[in-house]
Amino acid sequence: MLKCKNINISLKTKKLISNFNISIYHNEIWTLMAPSGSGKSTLLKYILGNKESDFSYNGDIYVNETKINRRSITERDISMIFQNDLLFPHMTIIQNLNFVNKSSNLKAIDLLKENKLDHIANSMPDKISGGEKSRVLLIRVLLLETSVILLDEPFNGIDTETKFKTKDFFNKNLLKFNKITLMVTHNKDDVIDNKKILNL
Amino acid sequence: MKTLINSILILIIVTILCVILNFISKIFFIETLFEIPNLFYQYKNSIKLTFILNTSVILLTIILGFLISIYFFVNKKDTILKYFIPYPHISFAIGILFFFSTSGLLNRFLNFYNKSEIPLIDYMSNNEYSILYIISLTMRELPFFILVSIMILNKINFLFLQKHSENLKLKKFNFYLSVIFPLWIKRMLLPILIIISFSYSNYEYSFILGTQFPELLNQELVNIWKNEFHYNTHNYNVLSLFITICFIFTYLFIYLIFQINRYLSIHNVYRKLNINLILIGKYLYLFLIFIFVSNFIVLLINSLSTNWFFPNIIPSGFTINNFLEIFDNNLNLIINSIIISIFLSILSIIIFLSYFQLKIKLTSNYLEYVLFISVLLILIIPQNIFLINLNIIFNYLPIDSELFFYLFSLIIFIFPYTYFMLKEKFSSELYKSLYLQKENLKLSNYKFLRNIIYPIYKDTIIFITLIGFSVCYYQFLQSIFIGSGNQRLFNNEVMVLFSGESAQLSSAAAIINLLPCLVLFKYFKFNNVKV
Repeated sequence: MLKCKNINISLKTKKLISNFNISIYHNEIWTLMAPSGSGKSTLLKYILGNKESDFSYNGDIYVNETKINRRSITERDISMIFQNDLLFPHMTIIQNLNFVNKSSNLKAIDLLKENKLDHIANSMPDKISGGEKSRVLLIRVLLLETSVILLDEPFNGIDTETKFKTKDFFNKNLLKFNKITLMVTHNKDDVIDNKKILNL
Repeated sequence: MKTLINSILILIIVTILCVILNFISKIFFIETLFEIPNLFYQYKNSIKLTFILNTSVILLTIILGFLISIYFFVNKKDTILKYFIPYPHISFAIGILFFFSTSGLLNRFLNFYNKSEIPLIDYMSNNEYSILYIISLTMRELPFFILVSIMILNKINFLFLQKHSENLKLKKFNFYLSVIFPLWIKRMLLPILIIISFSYSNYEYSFILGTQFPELLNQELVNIWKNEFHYNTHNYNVLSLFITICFIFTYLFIYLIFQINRYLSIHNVYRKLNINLILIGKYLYLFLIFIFVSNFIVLLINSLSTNWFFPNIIPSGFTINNFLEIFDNNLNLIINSIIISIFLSILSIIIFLSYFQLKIKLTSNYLEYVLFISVLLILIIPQNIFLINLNIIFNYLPIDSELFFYLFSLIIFIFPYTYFMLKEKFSSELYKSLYLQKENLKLSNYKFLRNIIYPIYKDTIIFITLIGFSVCYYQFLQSIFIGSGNQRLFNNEVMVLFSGESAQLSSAAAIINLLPCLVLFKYFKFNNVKV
């Protein structure tokens, strides 16, 4: 379970997030809706463990009942897909995936095949489409086998038809791998589970 | 006014640092003060000579550098000068000597055409030595200075200013001297300080070109350090002070000259003048190329000849035995120098890569400021003063290893180059997002460096390694200052060979000393490195 308790974030004197509380269980995909500039990406980065110097933060974060505030990003059982995330430009898709694979059960190529993406395995990141890139980014975080996955506007820049397929792909895989998921977006069309929406 | 304040601030920082270093290292500072009048009288000639020669070098470098760089800038040409930047000072000084001396290549040619029995340039007189010192040091400083200068010119809105000047009916000479030059000189502060610093600390030129004349302060300092260190600390304290004062006066003198130029420009004194500066720049550039190429040729002919008696233009026989002999006798030293240089340049990169990783996590910028000022001061403070004070500080520390200090004193001069070149790449947003990915994807430091940083920044890292390598390989003063002189680089051995062996052997050594420079040349060429 991911639990955020009384999180406050401010930029100098401006309060961005005040008293944010949420508990998310395995197999749940929550969406946090807020307009641009409201601090939702900053919140996700704080949960991940990436504090930015201009902001001040307080509040507690628990993963599976363990307080993780003092842990570094590497020590946290959390990974994130950033807005405009990057695949390493000098590696092919399969190299990008194998490079981070820490799982003994999962194989990158199997996940690509299961999801009908094996044709791009040997492509370079700049040769694949936006939808394909989003799916590869999700496969990459799945291979890290962290309990919590944070998604920062993962469907930005994808056309409506592709977005529908990509959302389905995310939903299927996040549930299949029993993940705790928190997504932030400003766009209603991006929501994966309509019953689990929180407005900031 | 702002430039004046900036300049004075930098000078104050440099002076304070020199004084702090001096105070830390000199426990007999009060006694030193009493020595100043006596030593001033003793070294009066040296002070005068050092100030006049070095100030002339800096002035000439600035003027010629400006003229050549505007020639390149206006013609949008790619300069081959970058290949000359790593040309070793010691090889250059020997080449200059063998070209200009009484039995040098120039006199052989002049003698051949004039049928004169008396060499035209009598190197063995004081004035000619001074001229040779100024020419050689100026020419050797120019490639670096010009390349920086072209980069600076690129940052000036040249076309916009040109249009306005044409509209105001300014002549080209007036435009370059009254509009471009003041803007340019304002941004050239750091390169000028670096060049002043080098002029005041070089030992190669004064040793090779002027062994028989009143010595420069740089040489006196080295001599005192070598001969009197263990029982007399006053003299080198005072000499360091004299060098620092001369350094500051050179800077102020140059500043004054450019302020006068500014005053003359503002009062339209140049309005009627119309000299083609671009053409002058072109000829100066050709002269510069000629000096470097002839330098190389004279070393090559010397090193390949069995003997070469004056006034013959061609040697009586050719051989490669000079090279073989140098290799036979110095192979270990060459390998040692290469290993030390590679090791230290890679270590320097590792240190700064770790620093840039650390920097991302830091919330305040204080460490960055301290580091920036430190590397800047390493560049600006004359190397001889820096090394002596560092040596004295090390003597007070409980570190007994001479080798450690030697390696430390070498790597510290690689740091500024590594820092400035890595800073450009590793302060970027791309690097920050890569680092965030590293954390997010739970990559180890080793994996991150090997699989992400190295492949993406491979060219930059190789280039910096090569620069670091050549900076270390061509360090000179450490071997003279530290310990008993047992640890030395091949670069120093060239000077030893110059003092004790034939012209052929020392030329062969000077050519072999060029090898790392040739590696850099190849790298520039294959990777099409542009300024």
